[in-house]
Parts: sequence; structure tokens; C-alpha cells
Amino acid sequence: MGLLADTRKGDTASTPDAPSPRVVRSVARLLRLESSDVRRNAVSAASVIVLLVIWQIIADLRLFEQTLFPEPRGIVQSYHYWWANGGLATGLSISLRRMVMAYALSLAIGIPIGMLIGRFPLADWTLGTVVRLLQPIPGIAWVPLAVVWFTSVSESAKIFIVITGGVFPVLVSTSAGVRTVPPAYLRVARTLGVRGLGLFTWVVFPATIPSIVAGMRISWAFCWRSLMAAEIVLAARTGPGQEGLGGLIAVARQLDQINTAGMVMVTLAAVGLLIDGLVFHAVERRIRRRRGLTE
Amino acid sequence: MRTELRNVSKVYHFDGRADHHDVQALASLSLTIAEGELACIVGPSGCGKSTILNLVAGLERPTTGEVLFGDAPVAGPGPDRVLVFQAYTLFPWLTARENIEFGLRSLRLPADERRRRVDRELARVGLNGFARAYPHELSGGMQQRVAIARALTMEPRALLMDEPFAALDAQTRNLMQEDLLTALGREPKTMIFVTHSVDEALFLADTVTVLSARPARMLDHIRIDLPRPRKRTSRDLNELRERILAQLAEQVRLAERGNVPWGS
Repeated sequence: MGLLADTRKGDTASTPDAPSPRVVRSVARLLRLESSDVRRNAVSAASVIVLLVIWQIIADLRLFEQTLFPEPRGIVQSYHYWWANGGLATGLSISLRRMVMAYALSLAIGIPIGMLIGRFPLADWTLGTVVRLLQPIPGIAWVPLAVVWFTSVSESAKIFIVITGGVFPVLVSTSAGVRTVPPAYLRVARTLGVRGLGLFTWVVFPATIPSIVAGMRISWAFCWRSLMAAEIVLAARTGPGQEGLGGLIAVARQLDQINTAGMVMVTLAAVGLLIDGLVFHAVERRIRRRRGLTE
Repeated sequence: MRTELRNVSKVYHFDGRADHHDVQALASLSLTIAEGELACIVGPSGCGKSTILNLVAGLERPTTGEVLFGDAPVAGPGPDRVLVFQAYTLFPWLTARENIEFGLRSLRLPADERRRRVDRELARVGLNGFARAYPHELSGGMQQRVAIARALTMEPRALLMDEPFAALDAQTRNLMQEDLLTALGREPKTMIFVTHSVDEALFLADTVTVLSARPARMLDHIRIDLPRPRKRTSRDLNELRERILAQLAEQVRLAERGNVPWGS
């Protein structure tokens, strides 16, 4: 701390050739971790590094058979290998393409049904009941049906499985959001002459957007999980990365390449974190700020 | 446009899990508000004042009796009778300007006419500089100004005010009352203004209707012909205040005795 205190003192003294006080102050702020965002990210990054170090140390102790326990160094080598032969890039792009398609379909199905269920009791008693029945079934349990209904190795089968995982969170969150639209908003709109579909598009939908986005966030995570399940179980095509990231895991299992499995897992975590942080976190923050829901 | 309630009753039916009961908000109430009149309705809380506005606005239907606006019975909500609520009813996802413009979408007006009207109402309520602000960036008083502008932009024949200033602090409230009168000064518009504040009613009203505790009966109907702006503490208003407060106090006393077992 002594060093930092000195930096501050130098700032107030302001010698002629010293860097401008503003720069000094912002550097000091960074080092002292004054901004809560910077501090949080720095601490998070540090904890990941600590985890990696401990992980490598445990691996180096050789407590476990090397083929059973992935280790950071081995994973880095796997990255080199799969990057060089293009398998990782192919797998990533194939998985993401499936993901985007299945996710878009999940939203296109989930949001409208959620709105209906939330708004109309009759839809809740009928459609809602079906939803509540299907919701607890995990995506992986749909595999036999998907294989029979679609050609077993087809894209459709995988996308179907991903949708069964991704459609429910956004659906349930949307319907809950619709139910909690303040009745006062609807009364205001009606007294201003808005009726029927206008109430839906101008009041219910915008009022529900925060719940929809929260549901979209969870749906994304569920889609991601279901996609891996589908790709691992239904891997068919050969060639590096042709069956997506899940296909890479399946290959790793067959070839006993434990570090390749580890590499895919790290990639899954990284992609998940990146999308969640860059897209959803930012969108949610923007909405909350605009609507005055933050401090 | 004359507004008339003819022998109106309103019964709310509560269908709870453990308990079903009816609440009679209005029992054969008759009331007439003349065209261009600023009519204040005061009464103890829960007496059914807001019900009257909801019926005129067409958001609710009378159980028995008739509600007339002009010569026709009220069949539903319409932009000729716009209701302004107590507080927190601006749409938080819209700016002040977009909030004011909200009802105009259903009127299918051309864009320049919409803009003209919104600009006019922004100026009228003194919020020219806040058109792009979101509701949470505005004070409570400013939010209610936007709510009033949102109603006025529809150019309604009657403005229905449901305790619009009740959530504001006393000073802001006085200022809002003055500004409301100034804003509407040159265009006499029928206004039905429900409040539990006797001061507010006396400062604003052409006529004050005093209602009893639930189910509401008319206890008193007072015409105030004093010029505006009125002095809140003038002798005339003080005498009226005393008269109305005595009537209301009696009602509250009766209601409380009816409710609590230890009332003697």
C-alpha cells in the first residue's frame, strides 16, 4: 500500500515533468481497485489463475492416472493440436450455427405461447397444462423420439432436442412477466382509447420485456447444455469437428484423449461466459437503467 | 357535455378462497355535472369516489342504474373522457414525449398533427425541456404533469381526475393545483375531480359534492362562485371548510364505530 500512497502524494505535489494528475489518478484508481467493476473483474481473473495453478499442481503430483485426469498443460497442447488441424474452429462454428437456429426457434415458440398463457386463463388451463407436463422432461430424454421422428443423424433431430431444452425457461418467464404487468398500465391504456391487440403490443409486451430477457438468458444456457447432450449422443459424421463441440467430446472419449475432453469443456465454459457477459448482462443492465430499476 | 348518474348502484363481488362477500360501493346514487363544470367530489376514503370515475370513464359498468355522458349511456372507455390516476402510471419504457403521445396512436392522426399536439401539451404543463426524459428521471410532480398532458393531448370533452395529487407533498400539491387552473384557464372543460382533501376541493371547484361513507350517498352539494385564484384562507372558504369537515368527521366516526368491536 505504501507505493500507492506515494503515487497519490506525487499527484498533489505535481512536479513539472510528472504525468498529468488525471492520468496518475486513474492509474492509482486501477491499482487500488477503486471502481467496483474493475475490482470485481480483477479478483475474478485472479481466482481463475489460482484455480489453474492448483489444478496443475494436483496433476503434477500424479495422484491419478494421466489418461484419467485432464490437466491445464495438456489442455493447452490439445488446443494447439485441434487449432492446427481446424477441428476446433469447425466444431465451434457448427455448434454455434445449430445453437443460433435452435435458440431462435425456442424464442419464436416460447415467447408467444408464454404471452398467451400469461394473459388468457383458458390458454393457461390448456396449453399451460401441457407445458407444465413437458417441462420437467430433460432434453436428453427426447433422444429416442428425435431419432425416430427425424433421421437419426440429421440436423433436425439435434435441433429438436435443443429446442426441448431451451423453449421452457423463456416461456415460463414470459408468462410470469405477463401476469405481473401492473393492472394500472392496462387501465391507463384503456382510458386512452387503446383496445384489443393494441393493449398487447403497446402495453403488455413492452412491460414484459425485462422478464422475457431474463428468460432468454436462462434459455440460452439450457440450449447450450442440450446441444452438447445431442451432439455427444448423436455424433455420426467423422472428420475433425464435423459434429460440433459435442462431437469432439465423443471422439475424445473413444480415443481416450482426456485432455481433448478438457479442452472442449473449457471452451464451453468460455463461450457460455462470453455470451452471457457480453450480450445478456449488457442488455439487462441497459433495460434496468432506462426503466429506473437500478440505484 | 353533461355527465349524469341516475340511480346508480355498484356492487363488487369478492370471490376469495375462504370468503365470498359483496361490497356495495354505491347505492342508487344520482349526480349531475354540467358542461364545463369543475366538479370536486370529496368523501371518506373507501366510500366509492373512485368508482364514480371508473363508471364515467367506462372502465366499469354499473350494477343497476344508468351513467350518461351527453345524451348517450356510457358503453365503454373512450377518448372523450380520459381518466388521470393517482400516481406511477406513466409507462417506464417510454420518454415523457412518448408517454404523452401514447393515446394518439389509437386516434390514427398524421404524424405532424401528433407532434403539434404533444408539443402544445408539453408547453402547457411546462415540461418543454424534459421531453426526452424517462419517468424515473422526473420528480413526482413532473410525472403527474406528464400524466395530465397525456390525458389532455386526447382533447377529451371531460377530464376525470382520481386524486391526481394525493401522492405529492403539500407544497408541490398546492403548486400543481394552481398550475392546473392556469393551464386550463382559457378553455373551460368539464372536469370531475375526486379528492379526499377538502382544501383541494375548495381551492379548485365550481361545485363540491360531499359523499357519505360506503355506500356513498350525497350529503351536501355546494356551489362556490368565488373568483380564482382563490385565497386558501379566505373567510368564505374557511366557513365552507368547517362545514364539510364536520360532515366528513361524522361519517368517519360512524364508519369506525361500525368496524371496531370496542366502539361505544
